[in-house]
Amino acid sequence: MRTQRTKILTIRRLLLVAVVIIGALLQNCALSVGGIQICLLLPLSVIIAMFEKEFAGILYGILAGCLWDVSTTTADGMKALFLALTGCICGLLIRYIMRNNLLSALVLCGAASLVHNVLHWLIYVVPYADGMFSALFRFYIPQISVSVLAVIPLYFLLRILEKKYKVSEEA
Amino acid sequence: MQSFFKSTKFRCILALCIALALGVMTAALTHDGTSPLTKAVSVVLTPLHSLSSALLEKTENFGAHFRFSGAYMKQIAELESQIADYRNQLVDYEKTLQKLESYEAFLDIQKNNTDFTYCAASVISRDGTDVYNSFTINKGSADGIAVGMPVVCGNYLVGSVRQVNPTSCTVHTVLNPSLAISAYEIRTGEEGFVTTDTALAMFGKCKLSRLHSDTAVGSGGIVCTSGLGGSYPRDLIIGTIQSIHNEETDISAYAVLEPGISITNILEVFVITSFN
Repeated sequence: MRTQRTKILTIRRLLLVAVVIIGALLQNCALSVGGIQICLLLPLSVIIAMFEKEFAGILYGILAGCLWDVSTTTADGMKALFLALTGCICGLLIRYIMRNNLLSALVLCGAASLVHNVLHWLIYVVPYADGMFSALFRFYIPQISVSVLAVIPLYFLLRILEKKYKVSEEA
Repeated sequence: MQSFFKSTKFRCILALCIALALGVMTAALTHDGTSPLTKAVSVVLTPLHSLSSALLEKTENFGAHFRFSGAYMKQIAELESQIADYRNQLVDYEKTLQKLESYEAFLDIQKNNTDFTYCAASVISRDGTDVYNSFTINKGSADGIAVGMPVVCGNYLVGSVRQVNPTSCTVHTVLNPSLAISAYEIRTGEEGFVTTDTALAMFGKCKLSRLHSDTAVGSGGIVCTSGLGGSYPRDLIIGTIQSIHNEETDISAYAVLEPGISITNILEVFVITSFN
């Protein structure tokens, strides 16, 4: 029984790691909707944290952030730190306050994307002044909406995965 | 037996054989090689031949309606497989052609700058959250790449290396406001530095700043690196001037530049690892 539980947990965790890696590859290959590149790692981190709770959310956030940091020009480790915090907060909210459903996923992902993109805008765009509002409304806010849309298929995909590899004590 | 040879039937057969033999001899002796019998028969049969041939053409595919669909499915699968192979070959051909074009363009710059050492690289990912179109290439510190090295595509300056990993590095393009490249306009010789702001970068443009307010540069002018500061070699093309404007914060002017190459479509680049 114990080995069966360990086996299921291991498979589930490995599958989640594979999903994160595939999400990173798809994100970096310019997966876009209407010319707006989709950010997959942030919704994935949020949804995984919703299912796996805060501690696992931190670990998967770090993994997703490290994969994101490889291809980004922001300071190294910033994405890992941000996604780890996001995972932790989302996991805690789901555990104590919110329900684990699609609406919560949309709200949490939207909020996380908003915070991430606004921070990115404040740090990397506002110092150069000219065109900052243009960048905000033409680039960063549309990216938030596209990331929120990506939550819908990702949530259902991960829910299927979690149900298939559910461990009995967690029911 | 003897009665058969005396019967009418035998006599008819014999007569026919003799007639045919005579016909063969006639055909052999005449210039057109046919006997009168054959000619007579052909007159009757030729129209029938034509009719039957026409009918056969029309009903050629009739039998196909009764063929088993599995045969068609198999044929379709084979044809689709062939098409996929041809498509792959076409993709390989196009990629090779692109590589060849970029190498040919770089050959020009290498001929004029024999002191360059360079490293060829491919773009492997783009940062979707970066409004300045930064990208990652598949060469890193293990290949001798270091921060600050110029990145070119053909004759055109693309940007410079900003973050280096062992097997990859991230490049800030000329559309990034953090870059300031000393440059000059080749016709007038006026110097300035190339940078950009977010408003221009979102439209894929940069600018040559710190021009005199009565600058002589005009639309269509070509801007190249001047080599001042030692960060970039001299005479790498940055872009073409589109328009001239006055700065809002001081009395200088600036020229809006269109980069010589489409930053968002680059696939192959060269990193200049050393130059004099």
